[in-house]
Amino acid sequence: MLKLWAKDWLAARWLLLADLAVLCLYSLQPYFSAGFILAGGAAVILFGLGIVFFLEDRNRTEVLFLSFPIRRADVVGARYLFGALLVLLSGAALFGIVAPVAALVQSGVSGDDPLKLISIDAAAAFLCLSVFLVALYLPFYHRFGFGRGTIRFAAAALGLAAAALAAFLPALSAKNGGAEAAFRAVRTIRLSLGTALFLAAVAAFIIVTGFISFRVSLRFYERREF
Amino acid sequence: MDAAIEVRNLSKSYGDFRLKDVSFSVPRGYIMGLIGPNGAGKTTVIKLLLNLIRRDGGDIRVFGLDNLAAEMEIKARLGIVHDTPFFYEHLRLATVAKTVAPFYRDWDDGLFRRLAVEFELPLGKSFKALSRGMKMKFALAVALSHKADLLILDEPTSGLDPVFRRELLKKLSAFIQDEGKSVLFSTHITSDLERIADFITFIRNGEIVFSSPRDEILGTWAVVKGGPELLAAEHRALFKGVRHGEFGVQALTQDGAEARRRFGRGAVIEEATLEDIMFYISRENGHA
Repeated sequence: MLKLWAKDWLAARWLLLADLAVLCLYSLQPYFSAGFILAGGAAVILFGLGIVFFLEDRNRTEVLFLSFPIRRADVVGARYLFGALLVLLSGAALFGIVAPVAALVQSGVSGDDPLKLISIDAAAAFLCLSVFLVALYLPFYHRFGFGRGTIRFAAAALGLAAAALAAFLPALSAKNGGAEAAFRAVRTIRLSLGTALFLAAVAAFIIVTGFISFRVSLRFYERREF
Repeated sequence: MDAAIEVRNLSKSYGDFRLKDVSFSVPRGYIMGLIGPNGAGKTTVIKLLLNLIRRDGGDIRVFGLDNLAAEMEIKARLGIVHDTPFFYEHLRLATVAKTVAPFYRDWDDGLFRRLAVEFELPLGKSFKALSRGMKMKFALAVALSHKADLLILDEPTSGLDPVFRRELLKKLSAFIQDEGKSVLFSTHITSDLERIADFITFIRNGEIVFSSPRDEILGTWAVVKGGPELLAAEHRALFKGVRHGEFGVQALTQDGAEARRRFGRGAVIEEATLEDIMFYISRENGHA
């Protein structure tokens, strides 16, 4: 597992660091809302995975490394753990740097206070959104490869986003757009379940989504031909 | 004879292409040349050996082990050079080697550096800055640096100049001097194999035409040149492929001795090269 990470890190380290740096720069932009910053954190994770997969695809290194003594299950497992690592790094940057700095920079400028990012609700929303996106992307990638997989994932994600938008349309018309409605929905769920049960539900969502996605990816990848 | 690779009744279909009941074995300690025209199935056989594609039927044993059940153990002892070297183009050679080394328990960094010096590889340069020949040398250095017992080379010499091709062949000959090491070398440049291969397997349209010791092949196959009388009905069965030229007829036979007996001084009979064999057999049944 570590050797797969090591090769990805050696191949993509500067681009990955630049990817996280872009996220940190979000904090200096006074007109970015809390929702936009949160979505930016999730986008950085997908972009980080995309960088690694793009380099692998462009150089066709997958064929080379699959000729080495490595199991396909380990390759898939390493990619999921790498996705998890990106979620953690992006989360740490988002909640440790971006949100506090954005709150300072944007104080009195934006009507959408980034301080609301520093909350259990925002952290839960970020984790669920990012894990869901990674869990959706990786099966497409393992089934179709980088180019076709990414296009199909984008189409599926846009379709789901459109469906979610349609479902939440009444709430959106109330005030402050989608992010506000999403935060309110998460807060309502937490208050109705109680914080402990809410955190357990978030953990269960992450584990179940990740596990199902991993099994699907593994099935696809073991059948894939190069 | 102890086999490094043993392939039995291997089959695989992809779209229009079919690999049909391919069987051959590479004896331990020898070089096997896998020849055939483009699209014959050479790369498919290698991909099946490496489990990069799934077989429809048949068995593959490497070092006596099933290649699916003992994949990790087998791959740890293989050195691979693909037809196109697949490495991260933007990385320096020293960094590329660092991406590969952790995959092999027996990786010897000292050996890699010695080979880099021997092949004049600029470890500080990026992979994309190298010529095709230098990229192949690098791939070979990587394949040799973990003390592989079997080298699998897929078209390593295509597009390379004769100087590098000779160097590579010399290196392969040196490699098998170490007892028990073997090489499977796929190519359509048959002159390379005439120099170093101990055995030749010829594949065409997904089927094995022959798999025999090189000396036996070169000693028995012959090209017969003569007039139209060569094509008399009683001789047709002797020939595998016929070419009508400006100055008469040329035909390939698997039985040079019989051709000499039949035609005597009435025809010119020359030992066939591997290229002749590949050429005539590819023309047989309308395949050019």
